[in-house]
Order: sequence, then C-alpha cells, then structure tokens
Amino acid sequence: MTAVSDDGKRFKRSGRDRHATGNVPLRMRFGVIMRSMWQQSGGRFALIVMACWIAVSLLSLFWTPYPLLQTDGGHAWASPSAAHPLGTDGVGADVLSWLMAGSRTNLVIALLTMLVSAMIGLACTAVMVSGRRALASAGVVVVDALIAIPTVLLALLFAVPFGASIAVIVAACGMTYGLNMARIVKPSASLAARSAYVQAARAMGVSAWRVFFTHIVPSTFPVLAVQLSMSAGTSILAEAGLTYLGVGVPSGVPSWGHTLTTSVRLISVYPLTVLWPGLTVTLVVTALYLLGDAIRDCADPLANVELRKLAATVSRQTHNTGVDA
Amino acid sequence: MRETNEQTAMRKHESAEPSNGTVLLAARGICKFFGTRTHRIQALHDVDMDVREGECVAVIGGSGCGKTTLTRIMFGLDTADAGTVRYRGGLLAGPRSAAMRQLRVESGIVFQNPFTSLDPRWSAGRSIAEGLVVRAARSGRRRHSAGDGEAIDAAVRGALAMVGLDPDDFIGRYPLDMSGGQAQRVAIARAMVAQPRIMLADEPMSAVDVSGRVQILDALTEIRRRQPHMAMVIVSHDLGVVQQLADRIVVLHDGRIEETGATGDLLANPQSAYTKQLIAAAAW
Ligand SMILES: Nc1ncnc2c1ncn2[C@@H]1O[C@H](COP(=O)(O)OP(=O)(O)OP(=O)(O)O)[C@@H](O)[C@H]1O
Ligand SMILES: [Mg+2]
Repeated sequence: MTAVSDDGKRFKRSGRDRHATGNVPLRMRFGVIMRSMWQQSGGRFALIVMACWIAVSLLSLFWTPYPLLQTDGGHAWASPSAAHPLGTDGVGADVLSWLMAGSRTNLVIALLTMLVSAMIGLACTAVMVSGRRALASAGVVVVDALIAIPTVLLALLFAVPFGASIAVIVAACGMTYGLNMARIVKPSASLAARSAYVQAARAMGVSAWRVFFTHIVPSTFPVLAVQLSMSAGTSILAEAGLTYLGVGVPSGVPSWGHTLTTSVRLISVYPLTVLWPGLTVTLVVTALYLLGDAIRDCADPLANVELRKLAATVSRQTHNTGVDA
Repeated sequence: MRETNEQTAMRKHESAEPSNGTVLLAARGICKFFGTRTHRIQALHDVDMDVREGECVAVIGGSGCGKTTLTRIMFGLDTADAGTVRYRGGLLAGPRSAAMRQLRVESGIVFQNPFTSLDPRWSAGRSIAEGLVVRAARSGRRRHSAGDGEAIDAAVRGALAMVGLDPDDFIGRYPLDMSGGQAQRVAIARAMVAQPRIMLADEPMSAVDVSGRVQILDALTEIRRRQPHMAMVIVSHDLGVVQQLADRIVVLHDGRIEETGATGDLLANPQSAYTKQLIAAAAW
C-alpha cells in the first residue's frame, strides 16, 4: 500500500518536473522527429541507408561471408557469382566481406570527425561571439587564416610523425571542417548572442556558458545540423582520397577507400570492382547530406509544427494526470 | 519663465529626498556618450533618479531623449560613462560586484519586443522557469530534486495565472504560436516569477497591437495590485498607461531630467513647457 502510493507520488513529481521546464520526455520527442523524417522522401532514404550502414557495421563484427584474410589466388578479379556476390579483388579476397568490414571503419571515422569538428567548431564559435571584443576579433582573424589550409595538406603534415592512421584522417577533417563550421555558424550565433533573450537570461544571472549552450548553440541548429552531417559525408570522401594518397587508413585495415584504392589500379581492365565501393560511398554520402536536411526540418521546434504540438499536448496531459492522482 | 525653472528645480529637489519607502535604486550624475571619438553625442547629462520600494515610476519623454539608455544603465544592462548607480546602498561596479549580483536576483526585466526577448526554441514554461532553475542549481541543491521541481512548477503556474494566461494551455506553447499580447504577458510572467523587488518594463506595449496592449495593461495593473511592495519602472509613450500605473513620473528631455512629480500633480499641473507640450500632444 505504501509502496504503491510512493510510486504514484514519484511519478507525479517527475511529471511535474518535466512540465515546469516545458520539457517533453526525450523518447516522445525522438518518436515525433523520426516520424516526421520518415514522411519526407529524402529523410526516409537517409534513414534507410543509415540503418543499413549501422546494421552492416554491427554484423561485420561477428560475421562476413569470408574471413578478410582468406585469399584465393586462382580467383583474382573474379566477376560477381553466387560464391562472391560482388566478385573478388586482385588477391582473390571477397569484395563484399571487405566492404562490410570497411563500413565499420568508415562509421567510426564519420562519427569521430563529426565529434571533433563539432568541438572545434563550437569552441571557435564561442570565442568569436564572446563578449570580450579583443578576443572575439582575434578569434575571427585566426579562423579566417587557418581556414585556408587544405585538408590534404594538413593530413600530409600529420602523417609525417604519426604515419597513416584513422587518427590522421579524423584530425585533418575535424580541424578543417570545424573551422568551416565555425565560420558558417557564426552569423546566426552572434545574432543570438546579441538578442534580447540572451540579454534577458544574462540579466537573470544565467552564466555565459549556460547561455552559450542553451540559447546560442540551439539558435544555430538549422546550420549546425546540415554542417555536421556534411562533415560526416565529406569525411568519407576524404578517407577515400587520403587512403589513395597513402596517408589514410593503413594497409590491411578494411575501409571503403581501401577497397577503392586496391581496385582503382586496374580500373581499365576490371571496372566492375571499382563500381561497388564507388556506389557504396556515393549512396552513403548522399544519404548523409539528405539526413542533415531532414534533421534540420524535423528536429527543430521552430520548423516542425508536430514538435510544438507535442509539447502543448504533453504539458496539458501531464497536468491532468497530476490532478487526478 | 525663470520662476518656472526654479519651481521645477525645487520640485526635483523635494522628490529626491526619501519620503515614504526607502530608496531601492539610486542613480547619481549619470552621463552617457555614444558615437566615435570625433563625433560624440551625449545621450544623458548628469541625470539623478531614485526608485523607492513599492512605487511605480514612469519615465516619459520624446523619442531619442534617453529613456532606454537611462533605465538600462540603472538596471545594470549597460554602463555609464560617469556617475554611479546604487542598489540598496551597494554600488553597481561591474558584473561581479555584490550589488550587481543582488540586483540580478531581485530584478525582473520586460523588454520591448516579446518575440525577440523570448527564445523562439523554448516553450513558455521553460522560458519562465529559466531563472528559477539556474538559481535552484546554484543554491547547491540537486537540480532534479523533487521539491525544487514542484516549487518551480507552482511558481511558473502562478506567474502565468497572474498575467491572465491559462497555465495548462501556455506552459508548453512556443512563442511562434502566441499573439503579441500573449507573448509579452509570458515575458512579464518570466520577469515576475521570482517575485522581484523591482521590475523594469521598457515600452512593453509598443510592439503589440491594440488588443494586446489592453491585455498587457491589465496584467501590469493586476501585478501592481497583487504585489504592492514591488517597485516598478515603466517607460512609455502612452500617458493613459502612465496615469493608470504610475505613482510618480520622470520627464526626460534631450538627456536631462525636465521635471518629476507625483502622477496626478504632474499631469494636472505641469511646470515645464516641454511637459505641457507632451501632455498636449497626448490629448490629441
Ligand atoms: N548604441 C547606440 N549607439 C549610438 N547612439 C545611440 C545608441 N543607443 C542610443 N543612442 C542614442 O542615444 C540617444 C538616446 O537613445 P535612447 O534609446 O535611450 O532613447 P529613447 O528615449 O529610449 O527613445 P525611444 O523612445 O525612441 O525608445 C538617442 O539619440 C540615440 O540615437
Ligand atoms: Mg527606447
């Protein structure tokens, strides 16, 4: 009896907690966002490709049609067949197995690049919109200067001491995309930083950091969503390019760029082998770009009416259950 | 003419002395310049102004006379080039001074345009609760402690009800789905929710259509009635509003205090020529 009423009370409280800050439970918000994305053709395509990518990456941890190192010299450059659906490469290894395993590497690279570029981008943005004028203008100058360094050059520089590795790709991409992001995000961020709602928050004693993360960063959401997904997509293209140059993933580590590199040498003789990694990369990069657009349109309460409606309904319902209990 | 000026000066002197409530906010010798080194304009010339506990002071004057500049300086949103502002005796000296912190906690500010002063990505409930949530977190208690949540929820609901909005309906609403009058009342609720000692409203009705103005005026009147101990500074062009809300009027003209006095006195019996003009213009 006591336990039950205790539970009821706790539920009521947590409901009111959410209610007071106008927050909708994360799970409900996520559901509405997913549904809205599914209703767009671009969003649906992106979601399907992302789901496949993640599923294949996980699957490749346990199973690939052939072990990666199993080669069959007699069947090098084999055409697609029942045994090897996507054919074999120059040493007779199964292309499908390598692509499956490679999707894992590329997923890691895309996620890490997104993370690093977000951190660098937001850090630079924070400096550029800071209240200290001198710091802000110094930040703008530094970002504008560093933005001129191309990704490839940076990767080549990093590769000198560290050798070819995933870290080199992530560092080079994260840095250049982060700086780019900062520059693109800055106008909306500084608009928000000067806005009356930020002044109001500061006047209530909200700290500058809190204002940055709760008001200024969300105000850049439309740009940020697109930029972040573009970072992820472009990092996959960069991985292919850098691996081809020998400063990307080390040989022996499966990646789409690796498969592309090994097969591109004989493209004029066996064009079909290039087709599969090329198609995979194109598909995934397109999906990532579309994903950014879909997130921008669906995850922002300003753009998505459904999210606003959800907040209104939930707050009404939460209160009613509170009254009934 | 000279007599009038002397009378004005006398009246100004009288009202600068503490009469009923104690002085909460006191500005002395405020000067403010704008522009570059070569082309400077002085927006405020040596302005003195007091706000006492529980009184509603209206600042009126023509466009560009410095009302916004003066009130922003008094509430610590801007800094003066000369002069001092004291809140409950403590000098507002930089954002980290004790008096400034106290003023931040004990003041509520309503901006002119509700659609720029409310974060468009925040629901009304979240915006109103913002200050309380931060304070609860700062006071050392756990952010998610149930008692805090309940107290904050009650305060948010109370504030919404006070400005005449249905809490059930508005807590989860976004500014995009509100009218101007509703949004401004949410902004007023945000300023009121922590039960401030002093509130600033800089032309809270000018960005809103006529029906919205009535709602805002009603909300402010209700607040005056329910919170008689709270001081209020209201900047307005609308003498009707001023007459309904204010106990005292400060007339600003080209960055100088032209005249100040109790609302009834000043409107019925303006001393300076400029105030007479203002009142005549409003009577139109
Ligand atoms: N940031 C600024 N830069 C330059 N000049 C400014 C700035 N802010 C205000 N001023 C000038 O200072 C003077 C006073 O401006 P203020 O905004 O205080 O007037 P106001 O009385 O609030 O006018 P209104 O009734 O139109 O709101 C004006 O001449 C204005 O042009
Ligand atoms: Mg103004």
